[in-house]
Amino acid sequence: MKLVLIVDDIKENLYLLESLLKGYGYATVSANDGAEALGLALKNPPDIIISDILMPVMDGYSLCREWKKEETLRNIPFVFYTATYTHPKDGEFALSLGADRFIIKPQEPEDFMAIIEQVLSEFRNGKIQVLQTHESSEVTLLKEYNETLIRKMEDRMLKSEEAEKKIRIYASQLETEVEHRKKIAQTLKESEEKYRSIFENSGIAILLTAPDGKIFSANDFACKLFDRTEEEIIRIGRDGLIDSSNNPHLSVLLDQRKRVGHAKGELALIKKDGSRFLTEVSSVIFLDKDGNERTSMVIRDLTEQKKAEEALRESELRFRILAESAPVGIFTTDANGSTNYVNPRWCEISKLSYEEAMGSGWIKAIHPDDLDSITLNWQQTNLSNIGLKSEYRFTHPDGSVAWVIGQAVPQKNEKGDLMGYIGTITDITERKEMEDDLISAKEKAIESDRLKTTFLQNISHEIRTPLNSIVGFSRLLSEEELSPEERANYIDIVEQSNDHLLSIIADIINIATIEAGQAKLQEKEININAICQLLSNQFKTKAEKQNIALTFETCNHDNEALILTDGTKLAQILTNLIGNAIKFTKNGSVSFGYQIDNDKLVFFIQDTGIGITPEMHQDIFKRFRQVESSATRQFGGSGLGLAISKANVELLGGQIWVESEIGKGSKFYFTIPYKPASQAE
Amino acid sequence: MKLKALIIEDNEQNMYMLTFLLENNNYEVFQAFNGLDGIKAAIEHSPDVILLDIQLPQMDGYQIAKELRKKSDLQHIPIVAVTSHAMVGDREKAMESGATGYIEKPIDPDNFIQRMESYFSEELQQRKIRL
Repeated sequence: MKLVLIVDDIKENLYLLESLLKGYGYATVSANDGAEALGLALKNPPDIIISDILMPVMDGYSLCREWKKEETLRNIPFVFYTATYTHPKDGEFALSLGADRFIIKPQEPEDFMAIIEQVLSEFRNGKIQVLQTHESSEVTLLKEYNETLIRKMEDRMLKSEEAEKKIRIYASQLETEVEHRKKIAQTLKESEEKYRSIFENSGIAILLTAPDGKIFSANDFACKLFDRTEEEIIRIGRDGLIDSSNNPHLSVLLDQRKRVGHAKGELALIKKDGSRFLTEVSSVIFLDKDGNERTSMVIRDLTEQKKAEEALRESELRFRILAESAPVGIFTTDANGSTNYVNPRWCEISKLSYEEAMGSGWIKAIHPDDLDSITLNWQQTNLSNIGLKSEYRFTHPDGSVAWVIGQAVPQKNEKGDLMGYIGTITDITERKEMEDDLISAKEKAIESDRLKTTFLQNISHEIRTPLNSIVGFSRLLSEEELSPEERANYIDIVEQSNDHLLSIIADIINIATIEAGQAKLQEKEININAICQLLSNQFKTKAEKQNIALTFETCNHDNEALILTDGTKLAQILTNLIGNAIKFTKNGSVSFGYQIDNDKLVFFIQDTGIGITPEMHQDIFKRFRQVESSATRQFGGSGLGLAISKANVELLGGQIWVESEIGKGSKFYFTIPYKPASQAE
Repeated sequence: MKLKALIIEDNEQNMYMLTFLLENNNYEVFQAFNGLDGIKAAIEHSPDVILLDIQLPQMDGYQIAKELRKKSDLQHIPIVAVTSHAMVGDREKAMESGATGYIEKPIDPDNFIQRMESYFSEELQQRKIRL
């Protein structure tokens, strides 16, 4: 077995070459520098030496020189194997020192071994040239040797510097990496703390569990909720917290969580004291860092919410009952004024259905005359923020009308935003009707009072005028130097005035009787023709005095004129109407008569007098009313005549009216029932 | 020489009676049966006193009094309303219209002249006495 001496200051190189050579069946001996190698070789000469160049104590070149000087060693092949080849001269120099080969690292092991075996075979075949003594001087050799070494040293230093630079870069990169990792660790820690803090301090109960119901962790809020310590909760597990008998959909939730990874639902849970409370639980399945299935359970206590909901429901019910049974109409609108609720009473008042009232549907039921005032009121409510009252009408499909007082107030939320309006309507139709009645009653009373005053003034005047004559002329009768004619005239005046006064008093009593409802009918068989003829004769003188032609027109026979009625009242009516006709006619004619019209007798009294304006055709029949105001009245009279006549006609069962034109004359008509005396008997 | 009295009255009997009373008391009497004639007569005769009925045809006594008071040379003449308007307020209405006095009907023939003359001015009363 051949022995190979390997010289290298780097152990790894030694080990590599030893392994390689042993693999090829060589024995090896190693030295760390030239001196050690020389010592070993002298003791036990190898078959070949493989040496590095740069080494401490004695370098390769020195070793080679000493090697070739030793008698026992100079014929042993010397091979340089070096990585520090930088210059072609290095090889030449090595060979000039007597080295057999100069191999540059790295070499493939097979190539390296081929070279080694080639060198050994050359030696066996005696090809090895024994190195001649150097022709060049020792000085030149040394100089060259030094130059080579220095070159090699510089080269190595440069390489070393480069390596150091690289190392520094690596070191800084490493430092950055370490810093980065530190930061990540810090962030992770903070994040973990943050989530831990959320977990611990959130106002909501959280449990960390496994799908099988095992609990790993419970936050403070959860502990408070269950009134248990975290250890207790972990010990009893999910099944100890959930009232499984009272939670029919627990299995549904668990099943859902298993299928889709999360679930949320209401569950009844149990406190330490056994009391149950309703919660909303949301649960999610996730994987922990080791890939285990874990679940979270977030529990929200619904006790307060349920209480609030219950209270709200009760309150809502209460208000609904109030709204549904309230005696006033109630409505609500959105912020735009569009109706979104009305109560039954509202529908009842407006006669609209709930559906018809929605939005702006209610407007169609509002009386057209009230739309403007409603709009105005609405605008003012918006401006002033105060619910203003307004009165308006709903028109019903049947044409009837409901009067209401409406009022709406704006509804605002906590922020002050307008949410809508709430309003009421109160049916005041009855009140309105009463008001109207009262107003008209008041007007009537005022009118009545005014008429009575006028009446009293007239009566006063009418009584005082004849009384003046009676008092005055009675006094004059006592004068002694009166002629018999004067005396007779005075007596006549007093008598006339007496009659006048009596007739006025009779009128007053008449109207008083009628007003008191005490007038009575006394029906008797009478002949109308006879009565008319009598009246015609009575008024003849007066008519002639005024140059008026008075005619009684009849075309009925006496057998038809015999009827059953209150003759006194009939005569009174005719007297009044004929008297008026003559009184109000300055010239022309007055005619009167009657006709039979089925079951009625129609009387007429026509004159060519001053006439009556159309607006007075009704008024003249009213009590205390006269055609002209009292002060300018030309024609005298109590102003009761027509009122008495009308009352009497109605008492007899008929009607009275007038047709008249100013300046042309008037025609009064009145009817009484035609009751022939023969039939009545 | 007599004092002149103008009577404006539509009722013949009243006219007769007032005329009778005034003539018996030494007045010269002018008669008018409506307002228009009354105003004409007042301007024409410049009476010392005017007796005025209130309820008259066409123009009533209140209007006549107002018209008379518009004429400067008639303003001093006492106007005595003689009327059957005897309700509360009628007197005030007459006085507002320009009447100097107010005598209700029925009149008392025994003291009518005395009452009428009580509305005369001092000067007129003196003149009456002197006559």
